[in-house]
Amino acid sequence: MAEAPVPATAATAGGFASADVTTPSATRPASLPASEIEPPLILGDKAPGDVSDDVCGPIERGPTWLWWMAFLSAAITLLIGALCVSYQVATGIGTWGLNRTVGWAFDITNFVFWVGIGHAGTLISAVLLLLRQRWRTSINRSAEAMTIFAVICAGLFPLIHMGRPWLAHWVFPYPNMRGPLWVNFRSPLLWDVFAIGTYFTISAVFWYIGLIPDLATVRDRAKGLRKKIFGVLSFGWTGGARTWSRWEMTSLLLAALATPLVVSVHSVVSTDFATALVPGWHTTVFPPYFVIGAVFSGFAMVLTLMIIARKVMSLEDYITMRHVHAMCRVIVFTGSIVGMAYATELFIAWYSGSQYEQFAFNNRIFGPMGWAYGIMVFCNVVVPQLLWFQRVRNSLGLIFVITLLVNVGMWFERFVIIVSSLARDFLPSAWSGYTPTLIELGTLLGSFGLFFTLFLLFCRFLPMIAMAEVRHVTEAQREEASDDGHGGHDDEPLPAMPVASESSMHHFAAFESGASLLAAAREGRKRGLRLVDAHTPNPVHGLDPVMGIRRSRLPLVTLFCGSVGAAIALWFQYWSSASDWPLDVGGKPFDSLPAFVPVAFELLILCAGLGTAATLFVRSRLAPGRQTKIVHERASSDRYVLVVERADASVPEDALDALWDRHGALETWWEVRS
Amino acid sequence: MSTPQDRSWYRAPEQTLAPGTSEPDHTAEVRRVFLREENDDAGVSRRSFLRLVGFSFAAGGAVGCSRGPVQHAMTAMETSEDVVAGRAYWIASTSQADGSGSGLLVRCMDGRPIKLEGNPSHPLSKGGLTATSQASLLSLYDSRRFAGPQVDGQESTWAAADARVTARMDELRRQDGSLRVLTSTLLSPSTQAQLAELAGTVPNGRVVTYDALSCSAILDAHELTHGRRVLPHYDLSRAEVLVSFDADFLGTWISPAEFSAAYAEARQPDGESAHMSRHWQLEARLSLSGSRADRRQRLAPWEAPQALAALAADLAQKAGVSLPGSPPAKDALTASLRATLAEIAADLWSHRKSALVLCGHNDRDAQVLVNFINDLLQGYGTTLDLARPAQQRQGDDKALLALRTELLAGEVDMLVIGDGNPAYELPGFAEAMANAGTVVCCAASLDETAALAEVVCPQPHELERWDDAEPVAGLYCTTQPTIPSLRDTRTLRHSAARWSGELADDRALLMAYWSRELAPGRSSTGTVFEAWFATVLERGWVDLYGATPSGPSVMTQAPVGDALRQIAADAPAASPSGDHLGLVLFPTVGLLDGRGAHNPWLQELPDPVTKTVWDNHADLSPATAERLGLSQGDLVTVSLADGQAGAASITLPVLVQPGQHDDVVAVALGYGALGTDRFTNVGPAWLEGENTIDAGETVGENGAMLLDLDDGQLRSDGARVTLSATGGRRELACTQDHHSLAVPEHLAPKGGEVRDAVAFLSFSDLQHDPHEAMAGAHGGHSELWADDHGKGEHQWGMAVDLASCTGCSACVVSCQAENNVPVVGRDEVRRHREMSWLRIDRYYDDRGDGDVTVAHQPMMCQHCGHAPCETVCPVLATMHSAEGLNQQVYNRCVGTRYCANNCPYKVRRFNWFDYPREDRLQNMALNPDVTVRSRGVMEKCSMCFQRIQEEKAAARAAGRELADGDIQMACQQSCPTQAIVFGDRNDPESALSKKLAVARTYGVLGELNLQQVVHYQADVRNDDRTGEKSHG
Repeated sequence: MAEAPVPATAATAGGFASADVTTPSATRPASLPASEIEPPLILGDKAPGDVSDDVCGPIERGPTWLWWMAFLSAAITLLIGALCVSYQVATGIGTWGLNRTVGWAFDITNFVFWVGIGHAGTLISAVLLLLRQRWRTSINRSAEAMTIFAVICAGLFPLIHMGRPWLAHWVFPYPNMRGPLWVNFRSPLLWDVFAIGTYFTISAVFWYIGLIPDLATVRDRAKGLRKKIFGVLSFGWTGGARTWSRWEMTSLLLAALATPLVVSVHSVVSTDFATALVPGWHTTVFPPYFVIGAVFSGFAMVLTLMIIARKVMSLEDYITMRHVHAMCRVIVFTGSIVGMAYATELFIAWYSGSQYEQFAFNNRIFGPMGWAYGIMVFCNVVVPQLLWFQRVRNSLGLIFVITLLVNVGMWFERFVIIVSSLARDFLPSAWSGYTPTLIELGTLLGSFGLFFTLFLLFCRFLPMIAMAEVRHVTEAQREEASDDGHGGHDDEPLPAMPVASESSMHHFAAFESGASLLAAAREGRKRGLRLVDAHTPNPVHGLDPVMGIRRSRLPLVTLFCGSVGAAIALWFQYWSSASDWPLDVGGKPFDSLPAFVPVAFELLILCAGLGTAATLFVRSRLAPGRQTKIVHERASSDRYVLVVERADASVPEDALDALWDRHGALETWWEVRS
Repeated sequence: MSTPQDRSWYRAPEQTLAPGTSEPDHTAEVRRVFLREENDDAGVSRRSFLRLVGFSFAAGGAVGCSRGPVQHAMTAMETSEDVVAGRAYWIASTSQADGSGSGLLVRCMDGRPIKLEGNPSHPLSKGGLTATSQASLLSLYDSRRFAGPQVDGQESTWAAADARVTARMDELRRQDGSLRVLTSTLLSPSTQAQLAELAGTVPNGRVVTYDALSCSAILDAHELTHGRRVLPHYDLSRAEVLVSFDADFLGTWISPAEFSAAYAEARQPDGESAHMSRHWQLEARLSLSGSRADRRQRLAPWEAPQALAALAADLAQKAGVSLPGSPPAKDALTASLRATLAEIAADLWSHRKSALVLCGHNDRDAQVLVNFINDLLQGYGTTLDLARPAQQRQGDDKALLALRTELLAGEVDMLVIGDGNPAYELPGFAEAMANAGTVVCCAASLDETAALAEVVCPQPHELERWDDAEPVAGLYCTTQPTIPSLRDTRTLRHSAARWSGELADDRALLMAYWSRELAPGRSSTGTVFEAWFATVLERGWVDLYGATPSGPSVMTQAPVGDALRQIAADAPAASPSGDHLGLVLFPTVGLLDGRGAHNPWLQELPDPVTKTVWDNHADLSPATAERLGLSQGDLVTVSLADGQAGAASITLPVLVQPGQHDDVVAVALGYGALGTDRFTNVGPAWLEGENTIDAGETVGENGAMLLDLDDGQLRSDGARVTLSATGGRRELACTQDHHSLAVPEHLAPKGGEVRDAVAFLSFSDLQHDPHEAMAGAHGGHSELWADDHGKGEHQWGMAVDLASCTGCSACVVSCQAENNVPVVGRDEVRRHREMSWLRIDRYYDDRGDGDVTVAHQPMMCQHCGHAPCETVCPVLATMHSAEGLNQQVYNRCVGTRYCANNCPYKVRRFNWFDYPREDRLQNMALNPDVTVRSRGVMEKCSMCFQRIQEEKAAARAAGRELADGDIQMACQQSCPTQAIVFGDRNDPESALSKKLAVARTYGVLGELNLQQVVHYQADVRNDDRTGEKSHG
């Protein structure tokens, strides 16, 4: 899958320890120098401004008829689902086809399915960030959006499957009039609550933090109401060098938190089954099996969406065949692991010697729901193998069909696991079957309606490609192409930064690229200018030392918040279960420490992530609706503005202009510092 | 659901006013209290209803009025003056719901009965109570009951009804007209006497007694052989070998609760005094008794007389008695049947004096042979008692046929129908009754007979009336009212007295009868009698049989010869040929002959063998179904062949029934009753929900139309029928889909897989080495965790002895009544959403010869110590009590259903809907001690938590220790065989601890180490072949 595999552990550790990310050369693996081996990631030789035009254009131009058609069908489907859910909530869970033996079917199948879909988004944005896969930048925004929408869809199902969603808050341990009676921290369903809640929160935060610079781009290009709205949404972003530095560190930290989180989420979901004693559920292979299945289905869904989106939103230059191929490789790789997991399950069932276990799998394959097992194996194991062939990988139509089939197959995998295991377990007298009702089918349909409605709204109103990151990639591409040595290091030691003067002026110079800005800044520093700030549409790597920006201490915040979260979680679970009101639950000891680990872990991630993000916002003074002075209207799009101050008169004012001109400054101006 | 006629279902004694005075109407009050139809205004509450009830007790006593509802009711446990709101009290009574006169303890609270339980002191039922009797509570609160007398189909008054009847009777007397009183067997001696008196007031008057489930042939046969037309009182406890020809004595035959208790007494496989009767069952369909038999042989009804003849011949030979006729030809019976009969003969002969042959065929010739056989085995005086006969069946089929002929000929001027519903239960009676001059009936609600009657004089429910019963000669049982009459009703005795010109009230009539006929000294009056009667009432029964047991009665041999000749003559014509099948009509455990048809508890009670609900069906053996190309659910029309009885036919879905005779189609009686369309909307209504029955239809079809009375014997079996598929289908509602412990063959590993949920032993293996016999049935018990939980003083537990359990399902209804378990309707059951907390798993084990061995296993929450349900609940809605019980907290449950998924026994029940209760009046039967669960809530067996608490509180209040046996579970209390034991595992002397110590004890799915507190004792069959097919 990765051309230059970097061990995940090393990358994760590196996230905290190294400053690699701040050096541009590190983003390009040395083993992959020649662009002739593969076509460039972004086609069309995009300048930073082209990126803004291409991505913001569709948002600014207004919806096309194609968008309206898609949106209307999605909204109607959502409406159908809403009607079904309302009817179910008003009438009772009996409107589903469940029975005394099969207590879960479509509800939890859909839940696991949607959680799984979400995984690709996190994987693309977090894991590939850690693995320095630059191709992710074209798709990570929409993949993350997909994650959030999929988790919303997923979260709805546990909520409605109780039949009385107004009682949902009972799963939270809040002080109450019942003793207080706390919750059962031994229940995997409760772990789910924390895992899904954390997953949604951290994904949303990660996504939004990534979105802020692009929201600023839209804001700066817009007028009127749109400008106001995006002004509020962009938190007063000006693209300052220190903010970029913290922003990049925050992204890295959140990526480092999201990576174990995404593994934990589907592992926890799988414990809903793995910790139960139902034959066919009770199996230790489930956590990795579920995680890899989630990645598999998630990538298939991303690809499905991307194939449509690149066409509809004219983003062929950004989501190229190279991206498609990369994702195809991920799919065939994870699909093969899924096939392996199926084989392992069968082997273990045979090897266990347990009659119940053996029967569960015989029944799964040859019993009344054998057809579903057949669909599952065909779609998940057989079909993806086609992607080994170059010709298949080059056919978008075929890939589209394959990704759809993979998602059908993955839905059936969950259905087979849940329903066929429940329908026939220990006592033959209680065996039953299952047939879905129209209400259930409508609810499933409605969840797709919700997903696509949200996704289409996202496409319509938010930049669906991470412009800042793509600019960074295109810039590197352009540098490679021109090979003008701008990206090279100048190891000459820099003089100390002068201190700010009493009263003086700020000089501004706008450049057309980060490289020009960096070169100008370096020279300015050498000339004894005080570099006040740089406002750039994307992070300019190498600028931090020139600007005299120290390495961020955000990792310490992360460590602290995470430790506090985990400690509180462990203490609270122990206190509520073993001390405040100990209850005999299934004969387990009051302090069931192993059972308390999942919630402690999720709270670790949640607190660490929220703490880091909050610190970023506080330190960089980012807040909703914050009004800031914009140095240049295009500083969020295609102008790289350097702000300097003459600390003393050693640099004459006219020499300053000459300096900027030498580095290709497009505009220069000055302002009296207020 | 309320109809205008609901409006007067409650009558307080104040309503007993002088004629002409306007009656106060309490209906509105009661509606406010119970139905909450109006917002409670100040002062109107449940409490005001209590005042009303309290007053009714007082007023009833003080006024002694003519229609006084409760007068001097004697409670069994406490005296009536300490009736305290919210505290239960018990009234001893007698159940006649299943016709057996079982002892009853009525649990009442706040002035109304809420639960029926067995009276442990009762000499016949010994605390057992059948499902039908249990469920009769609900019939009390049946909104379909008549509000008062009906004349010409209109609501009327007693004065008008009496005027009409007495006018007609005066006419009869003047014109020498004929009066016929037709009633099903009356256990009440006082009512019988009153009816006889009534018939006597008309020159041409006669009482005709019938039984829809007729045993007339047994009575007739005894008249021939012993000179007395009586039904012997069978003592199954003394039968070491019991052979039953199609008599379902554990399910429906004569007195199932009593027989089950006695049967269990003869089968005690444990300990020093281990003994076990051997039970042979020869039958056409798989009955409940057949499912429990040690050895079972499929036998078509037309083969039975010849089989009996062969058996008689064999035994006569062994006894050295010459058979008073020729034995049947050898080729009349198959070789395997002959071999079985030889084995039976040897078994019987070796146990003579303690052997018993029963025969359920209403065939005089066969019954004569049965008498002959029982006489040869010297059973009279030991296993059969003629000196003190049973009175539970008194019907006379010949008289019934004569009445039908008279009716058809228009020779009956007035027909008074007492108990029973002949227009529904008897073939041809609906048409015949149309020719009677005047029909008066005493039906409580609109049934087929009442629809034809000119005057209807509704009878009170047995929980509302004074009554007596004499189920066995000399054993007198009493019935007391437990609630003021809900409707304006009058007993048959009272009506008959009125029409005979007596003006005394009902209680006075009863007292007069008792004082005249039964009281010690036969003449005691006043306070002496009152005091004695009070003691009788308090206990519920008195044994007044004074005679010493008579010696063996002498049998006349002559009829045996006639019977043998007749059987030989009938033999060629008896068996169906060609496309014909033999029809077997049978009563079901719940509905019997139809008396339970309006009872939703019984309609939804899974049949103990077929596990179907809300339907009757045409049962076919698997081989026959395959031969005819029919599968379960196919609709077939069952028509009587060659124009018998007007070529009646009914259309029913097919049920494939293993263990049934291949040449037989079996159809349950009791279905298709008028007015069962009330159950159309019994289940929840939703988008895809289907009605329980189509509007205007009945639940099932009435099989009684196919009964045959033409030769003076009400025959339920043997008629030749043809089957034709209609092409339609109706999916049966069945609570169990997979019927075997063996998993489907194509899914099993090589050699097949049999689940060991039920342990099965042979008696000989058990005696040889009980521990070896049970090897493998015990799971390992290694502990992963230290047990740091506090334990209460008690550790409750339960044992279910499968060797005693007959599968009769009394416990299922008992649990439903105790725990307010809702009725959900056919569609919901079809969707496998029945709510019953206690189910009885029934497994077939194919013996390979078309016959099956059957295992019954009551299954309820096992209250696991390591409960899988508890760990998975996110909100702690289910957890463990310090006393070792798994508790479900309804108001904490959010409804994830995870617990139900993780329950390996699948005993948890989810409220998929808010279940509408079809008849809001029936909500009065709800147990106030148990929450009614709303939708979205999980529920399950609570181990009758409320009973535990009640007894603990009582013991605490009395300052005593809780004694073993103080607490009885609802299922346990009424179990006729006492197969269920509840108690404290901490007490080594408790009955439970002793039961758990026997070697047969095992836990279901023991290998999961769930540490459940419900244990089972392995099923034991007295059949050496059992070991070969053992599942242990």
